[in-house]
Amino acid sequence: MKQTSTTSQRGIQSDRLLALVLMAFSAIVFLYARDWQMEAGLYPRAIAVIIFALSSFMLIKPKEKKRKTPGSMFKEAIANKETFFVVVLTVVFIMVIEPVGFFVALPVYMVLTQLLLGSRDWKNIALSTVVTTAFIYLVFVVMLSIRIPVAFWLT
Amino acid sequence: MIEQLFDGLMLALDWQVLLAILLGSIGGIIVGALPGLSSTLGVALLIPFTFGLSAPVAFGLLGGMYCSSIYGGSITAILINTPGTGAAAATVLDGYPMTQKGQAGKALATAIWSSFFGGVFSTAALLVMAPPLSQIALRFGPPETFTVCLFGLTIIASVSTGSMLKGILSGLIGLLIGTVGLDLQIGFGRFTFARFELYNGINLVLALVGFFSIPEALNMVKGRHHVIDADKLKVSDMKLSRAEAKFLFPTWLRSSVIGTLIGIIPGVGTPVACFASYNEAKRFSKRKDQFGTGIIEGVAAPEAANNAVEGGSMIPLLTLGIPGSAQTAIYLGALMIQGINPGPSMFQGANAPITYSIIFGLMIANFVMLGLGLGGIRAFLALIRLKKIVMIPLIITFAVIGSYALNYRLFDVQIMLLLGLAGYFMRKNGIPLAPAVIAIILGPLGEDALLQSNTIFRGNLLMFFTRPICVFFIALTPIAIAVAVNNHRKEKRH
Repeated sequence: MKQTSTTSQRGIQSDRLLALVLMAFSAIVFLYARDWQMEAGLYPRAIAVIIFALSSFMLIKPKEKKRKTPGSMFKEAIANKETFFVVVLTVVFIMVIEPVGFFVALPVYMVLTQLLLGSRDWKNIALSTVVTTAFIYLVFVVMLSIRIPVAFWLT
Repeated sequence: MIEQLFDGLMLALDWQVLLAILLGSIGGIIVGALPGLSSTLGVALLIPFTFGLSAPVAFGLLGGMYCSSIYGGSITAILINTPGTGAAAATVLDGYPMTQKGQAGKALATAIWSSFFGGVFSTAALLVMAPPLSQIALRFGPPETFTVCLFGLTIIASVSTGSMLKGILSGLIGLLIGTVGLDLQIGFGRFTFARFELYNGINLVLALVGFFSIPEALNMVKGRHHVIDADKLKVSDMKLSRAEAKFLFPTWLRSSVIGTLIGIIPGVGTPVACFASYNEAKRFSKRKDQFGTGIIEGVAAPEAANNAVEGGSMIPLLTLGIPGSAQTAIYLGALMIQGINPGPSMFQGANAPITYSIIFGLMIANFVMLGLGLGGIRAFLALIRLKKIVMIPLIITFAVIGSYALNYRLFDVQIMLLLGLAGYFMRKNGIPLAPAVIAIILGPLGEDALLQSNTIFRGNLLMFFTRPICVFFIALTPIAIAVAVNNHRKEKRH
């Protein structure tokens, strides 16, 4: 009970917070498209206005009773540290594909992600990494001839 | 005609044609199951192999690829919430919840039988009724396409699980994503941020992979040890019983008709047929409130529809020479390579047996697909027996490689990840993702059709009411909205 009241003091109903986020988003879209010519800008501006209007409706009549703060909303989206680091690792993986090559980045990504998620079963890690890398190489590069940056020394 | 049909059947039953169908079907299942690799790409990749082949063998190979790649997309949609192709976008809605309930085998069996039914139905329609049905394609111009899209947007209300307001907001976000790219009227770059990669808009596959795969992989981080407990998977659940098939028959029939008809309409596409069929299955169902929770009708409807599109889209191609989709445009190229000019002459004289062999080849491809699909269920299920620790990087890796393979651009991968993170945020906040996907499909199609209609009507949009098909869909739209709102209210009361 005490905890609920503390949360209610700190946060606002999650639907209201979501409504505020969507209203801000639609306002940015509207302002970005404000100076576009009528033919090109009318449709996206109209959508932005409708999103704003419907979000404001959610602001007035929220359905979700759970309370959140902007910080808790972000934290909830991230869920936990592991999720956050999986996202970071994925971003790094994508960024290094071109400079180092896909088949260099992929095994490193597979190993690091599994270690991050708590696996210490090296046999399993090695097996999954080798099988995945070999499968993708065979299907995408050998069979389908899809041009993937294979490795930096093969460019 | 009977003699020509018989000759066509004999040509299609040649061992070389059957082997070509088998090889095409195996390749099709692999291509369809891999995110980012579409049936269009699969068929296109096979074109160089057809140069030295006879027409029946060449089209057997292409037919096998075409049929099976559409089914293949449902495998990863059902097992790991990652639709391999746009055609499987609606299959995830009930397919993946079935997997989460331990009914992955049942979902796969439903998908393959439904795909088979849809494929055979539309091919039979192609065989028997191609010339009269081709007239539908001729009656569909941009105004009709616009009204179909308008009607199609009512599906948003139907697939909005939970709050309808959030479903509509999701649809609007999808429409906004659909505006990215050059506008058709004046060629102005909308939300392109001076990146030429965005001039053609955001590819549907990027949106699908981003919205479904990435949020699922990130959700798994704090989820179970496996995608599904191995002991929950039962052998008995890997079949479709006779009673279930009987129960699904009306859904299969309805969805196959929808798929075939939408397939005939040039440019509308498979995902529209799938969502429309899903919507109709829900509308006719006695357990509307259970759609989205993992029920077999939710898998059967889109799967029957997506394979029914293949036969439907062949009708204007073979009878009029009009390719209604990317796949049939490649087919058109393949026909020309073989020295065949599509059009009414295809069903006459010496061309007729070849044409019927192509159609029978498609029919046989559906049987081969059924055999491979049923035989492969156990092998496919191995995917969800993997530990989530392996599954998470695996899903993300396939999402990355699939997005890259679309245009060989890292920028596409970045867009996919961005959409994935947006999808994760939306899902965490109770905003359903299916409405956004529907809007991404229908938004650009509808806008282009509206602008073209505006030009045709010289600005007088009241002209829509002078065209019977437009009037029909315009009248149907508010009715569909009212029914969806009413159903939503009833579901809430329950």
